Amino acid sequence: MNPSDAGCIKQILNGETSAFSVLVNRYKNQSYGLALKVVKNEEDAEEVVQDALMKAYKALRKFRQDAQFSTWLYRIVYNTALTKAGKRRIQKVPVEDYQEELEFDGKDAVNTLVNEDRKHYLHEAILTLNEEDRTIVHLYYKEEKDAKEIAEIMNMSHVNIRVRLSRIRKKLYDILRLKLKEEHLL
Amino acid sequence: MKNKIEDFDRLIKEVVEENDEPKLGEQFTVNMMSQVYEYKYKTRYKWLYVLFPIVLLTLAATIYFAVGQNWFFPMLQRFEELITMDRTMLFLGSAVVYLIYSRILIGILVLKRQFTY
Repeated sequence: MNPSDAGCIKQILNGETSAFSVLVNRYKNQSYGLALKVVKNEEDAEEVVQDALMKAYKALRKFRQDAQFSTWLYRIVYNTALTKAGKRRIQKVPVEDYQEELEFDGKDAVNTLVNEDRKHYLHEAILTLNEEDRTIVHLYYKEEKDAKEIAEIMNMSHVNIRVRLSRIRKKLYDILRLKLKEEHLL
Repeated sequence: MKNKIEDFDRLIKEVVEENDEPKLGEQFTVNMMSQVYEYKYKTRYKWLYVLFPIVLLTLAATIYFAVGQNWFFPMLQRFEELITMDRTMLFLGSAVVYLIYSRILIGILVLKRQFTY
């Protein structure tokens, strides 16, 4: 059985460096996925993950175990990827624009299409999002991080993340509706 | 309405999860661990990096100042080949030997760990 993250960290700090390979194997692909969202290049993303994991190893003693290791690591990955991509930090959205619910109309755009089509169109819609929004989608839906953890990774307030998530949903839904109109299904 | 948002969220999650992204293979872990061990040993054996040039410099200085001293001539004959070398070459040679030594040292330590991690 694989040890927990905390167990691995304890082993590494006690001198068993090989335990770091467990963490590398556990998080390399997730980190790679996250880096790809920012740098959009497989070679650069691999380099980012390598740099980030080295930074994490060097700073392991500073890691306070009140947060999850994955959240801490993703934050390093995200910042390293931003530096690599030469990007400034994300601009925060005004909170007053926050809109909790989607505006579903009479005909439900999501349920009109058969499953495979829905997924196809939705995947296309996700690809049209900018990298920050795709990073949020990745962290929220794939890594199952909550708004607070995403905020910690992306250095934003959790309210801002919730606003962005709401906007992303709305945007994806609008793209789906547009697609349906084009296909004369709505 | 809440159910519809949840349904939509579920759909997004399915799409995101089904979307195959490139993955990093086992070789990545091997390379990563090599880097980690290299860093570890470089940090742990820092003194070796310091000690070796000190020994080399002491040796070079001894040879440099001893040339011409009476007691040095018998030794000079023994190390004739070394002493006839140009002194600059001697220092450059020492630097090259040091670089090779440090790479071999770290290489051996990393390789040793690489097969055991």
